[in-house]
Amino acid sequence: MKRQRVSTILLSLALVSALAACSGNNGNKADHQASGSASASAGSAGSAGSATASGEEAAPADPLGKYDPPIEVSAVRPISEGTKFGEGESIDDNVWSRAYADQLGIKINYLWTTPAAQYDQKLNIAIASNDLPDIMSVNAAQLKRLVDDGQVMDLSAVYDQYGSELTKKLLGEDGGNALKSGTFDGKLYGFPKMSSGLGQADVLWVRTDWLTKLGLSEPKTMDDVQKIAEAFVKQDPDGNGKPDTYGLGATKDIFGFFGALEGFFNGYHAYPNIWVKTDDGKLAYGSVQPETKAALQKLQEMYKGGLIDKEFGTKDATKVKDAANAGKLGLFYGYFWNAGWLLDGKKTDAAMDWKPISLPSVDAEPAQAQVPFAISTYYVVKKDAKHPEAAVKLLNFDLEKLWGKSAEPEVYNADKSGNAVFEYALLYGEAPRKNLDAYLNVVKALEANDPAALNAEEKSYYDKIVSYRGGDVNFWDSEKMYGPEGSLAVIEGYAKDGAHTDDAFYGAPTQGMTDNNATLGKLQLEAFTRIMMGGSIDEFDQFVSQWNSLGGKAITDEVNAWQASQ
Amino acid sequence: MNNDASWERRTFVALNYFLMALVALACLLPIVNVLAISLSSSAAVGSGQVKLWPVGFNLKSYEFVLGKPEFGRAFTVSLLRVAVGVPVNMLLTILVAYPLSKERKDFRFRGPYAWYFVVTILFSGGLIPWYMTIKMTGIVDTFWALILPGAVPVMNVILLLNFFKSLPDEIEEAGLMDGAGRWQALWRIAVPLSAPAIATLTLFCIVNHWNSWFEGLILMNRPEHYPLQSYLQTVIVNRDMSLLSAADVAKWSLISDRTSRAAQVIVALLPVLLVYPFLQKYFAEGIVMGSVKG
Repeated sequence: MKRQRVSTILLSLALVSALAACSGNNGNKADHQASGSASASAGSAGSAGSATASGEEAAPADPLGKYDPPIEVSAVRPISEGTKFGEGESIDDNVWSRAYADQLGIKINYLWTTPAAQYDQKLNIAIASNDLPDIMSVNAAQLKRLVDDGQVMDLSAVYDQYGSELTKKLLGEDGGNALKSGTFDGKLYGFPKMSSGLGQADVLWVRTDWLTKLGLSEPKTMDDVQKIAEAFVKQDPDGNGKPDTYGLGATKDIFGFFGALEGFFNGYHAYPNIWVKTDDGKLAYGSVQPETKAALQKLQEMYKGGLIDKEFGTKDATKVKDAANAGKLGLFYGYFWNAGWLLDGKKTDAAMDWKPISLPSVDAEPAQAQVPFAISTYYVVKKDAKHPEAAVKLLNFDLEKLWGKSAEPEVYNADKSGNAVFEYALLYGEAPRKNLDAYLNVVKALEANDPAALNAEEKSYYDKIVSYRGGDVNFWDSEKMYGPEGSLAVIEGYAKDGAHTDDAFYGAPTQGMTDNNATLGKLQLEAFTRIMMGGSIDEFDQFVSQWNSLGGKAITDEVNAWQASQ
Repeated sequence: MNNDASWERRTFVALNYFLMALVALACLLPIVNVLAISLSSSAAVGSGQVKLWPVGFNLKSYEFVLGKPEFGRAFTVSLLRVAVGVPVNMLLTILVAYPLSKERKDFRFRGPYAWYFVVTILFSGGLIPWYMTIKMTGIVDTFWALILPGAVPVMNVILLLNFFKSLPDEIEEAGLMDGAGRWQALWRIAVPLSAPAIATLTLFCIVNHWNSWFEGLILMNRPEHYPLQSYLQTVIVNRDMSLLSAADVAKWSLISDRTSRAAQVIVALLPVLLVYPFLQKYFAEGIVMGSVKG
C-alpha cells in the first residue's frame, strides 16, 4: 500500500511539474529576475543637467588616432535579420572589422552575437550575471539599470576629449535631447544611437482609385475621413456586389505602425502615449486628456456604424495589411514606409493606387502629428574597461565613414552586391533628417533628370523610381515613399510647418514607469477597446482615475520633477 | 450488453466522434494552412488569399530554404543533438530508474536518492543561477551545452521507474537465482521487458531535443551554433516593433517572407513526423502501463 501511495505522489508531482514547465519556459524569467535586481534608490528623476561634470580639461586628443600597438576590446551585439556577408566573411572579418584594425588599431572581440530579436533577453542575462563586455548597446531601461547598479562608466570626459566634430554635431542635432536622455546626474553614460522620430509619425493612406470611382475627393477634415470610410463600406468600392469592404483600418493594439490610430487621435488634437505640455507649462500624459475622450467617442460611433472592422480586436497589423492587399480596405493611418507592405496588393491588382495624405483635422486648427522620442538604443562601456575612449573613437570612425566628408558609401554602406554593409559597424547612428533629405534630393534629381549629386543610397531610390516610371511595378513603393507625392513629402510638410508634437519626456524611464508601465498600458488598451466596441463613454473617466491611482499620478509627478530639473 | 445499441448509446458515440473529429481538425488545420502557405506565391500570401489550398503553386520557398546555409547548419546541429543526446538521456534514465524501482530492503537509501532527483522537479535554481552554473563548467558555446545540462530527464526516470516496478518480481528473482548479477538482471531482463516504455521515452527525448530552443538561444554565443528550433524561433517569432528603431522597421517592411518561413516550419516538422509512426504503437501502452500498477 505504501508503495502505491509513493507512486501516486510521484505521479502527481510529475504532472504538476509538467504544468509548471509549460508556463516557465518562455523566457519571461529573464526579464523578471533581471528587473528585480534594479535598485530602487537612484535619483531617477534627478538632475540631468546639460553641463558635463567632468572637471579636468584634457588636451583634445586625436578623435581618429591609431593605437600602436593595437588594442583589443570586447563587445556583444545583435545582428539584424537578413544581414548577409560576402564570400568568406563574417562578423569577425569584414570591411568594417578590417578598417577598425588597420586604421584605428582596434580589434573587436565579440563575446557573443545574437539575432536582433533575442538580443534583449540574452543581454539581460549577461547583466544579471555581471558578465559584461567592454562595449554593448542597451535600451533605455537597461541603461538605467546599469547606471543604478554602477556597472557602466561615466563617459563625459572621454566624449569631450575624443569626440569628433561630426560626432558631436550628429549627436546634438536634435537640440541635445538625445544626449540628455543618456545623461544621469550630469554624467553621460550612454551614447544615443541617433535616428529619426519623424519617421514614426503617421500619415493617412487612402486608395485614390476608390475615391475616383465613388466620386469623392481627398479628405481634408475628420468629417471627410468618416464620410470616406462610410462610402468605402456601403458603396461597394471594389464593385463585386458584396458588402465585404472595411472602412477605417484598425488593429487589436489600437496604436502601432500600420493601421494605427495615433493619426486619428491627432486629428482631434489628442496625443495618446506621449507626454505633452499643458497650458500651465506642466507635462501631462496624452492618453488621459479630454481630447482623447472626444476621439474615442468618434471611434465608438464609427464602430457602431460598421465603419471599423467588427473584429478589429483580434487582428494584428499583418492581418490588416492582408485585408488592404486583398482589396478589402482602402483607408488607414500608418508610417511612411507602409507602401512597402502594400506592394503585394499593387502587384496583384494593378488598378490599386494609394496616396499618403497629411493628417486631417477636426477643426480649423491643423492637426499635429505626434512624434515619439527617437532614441531607443544607447551604447555603453563597462565600468572597468581599459579603453573607454576606444568606444568614442569607434563611434567617430563609424559616423565619419558613413556620413562624414570622407564617407565612402560604396565601401562602408552598401557594397556592389547590395549587401547592407553598414550593418557590420559596431556603433551606428544616422542623421535624424536622413530620409527627408533623401526625399528632397531624389525629387530634385528627378526634376533635373540628373542623379549626379546623389549619394549611393539616394541613387538607389532614384533608380527604382525611374524603373517604376518605366513600367516596373516592383518599385512602386519607392515612388510612394521618396517620390514627389510620396509619404516623405507629407512628413517633410510636417517638419516644415512645425505640424508635429514631440514627446516632451525624453529622460530615462522613471522608477514608476519601470514598476507600472506594463499594468497601465494594459489598463489603457482594455479601456480603449471596450469604449470603441460600444462601452459607455463614461468608462473613460473611470479609466483616468484608475490610471492615476495605479501609478500614473506618481509617474506624472516624476516626469514633472524631471522637467523642472532640465 | 446487447448488440443492438440503444439510441442513447448511438447518439453518444456519434457525438463523441463528431467532437473528436473537431478536436483533430483543430490540430490539423493550422498545419495544412502552413503547408499551403509554403507552397503558394508570396503575392497571394501577402494579400491573404491562401487558406487551405495553395494559390499560385510553386516550390520556390523550398528551394530557397534548402539552399540556405544557416538552415542546413542548424538542421545538422539538431540532428547531431538528437543522435548524441537521446542515447545519453536513455542510458542515464535507465541507470537511475532501475535502482530506484527496488524495494527498500534491496536498496536502503532509496528514499533519499529518490528525493534527490524529485527535488529538481519541484524547485529550480532559476534562470540566472542555472546560466552561471553552466557557464562556470566552461561548456557554454559548445555542443555539450545542449546535451549535458538536461542529461537526466527526471520526469522520464519516474515514468520508467514505475514501469520497472510493474514487472513481475518473480522473473527477476528467477534470474538472480540462476546466477545473474544485478547488472545482467537489468540489461537482460528489465530492459527487454520494458521495451514499450523505453520506446515511448525515447520518443519523448527525441521530440524534446528536437523541439527545445531556449537553451540554444541562451547558451550559444553565435547564431551559427544554434540548433534548428532556436534558429527558427529567431526567424518566425513576431518581433516587438516597439523595440525597433525607425530604420529597422523600415527595413523589415521590405521583407515579405511568410512563404519561406512556412517552408522552414514544414521541413523542421518532417523528422518527427517520420519517426512518430514507428514508435506510436508503443506510446499509449507504455505510459498507461507504468502508471496503473501499484
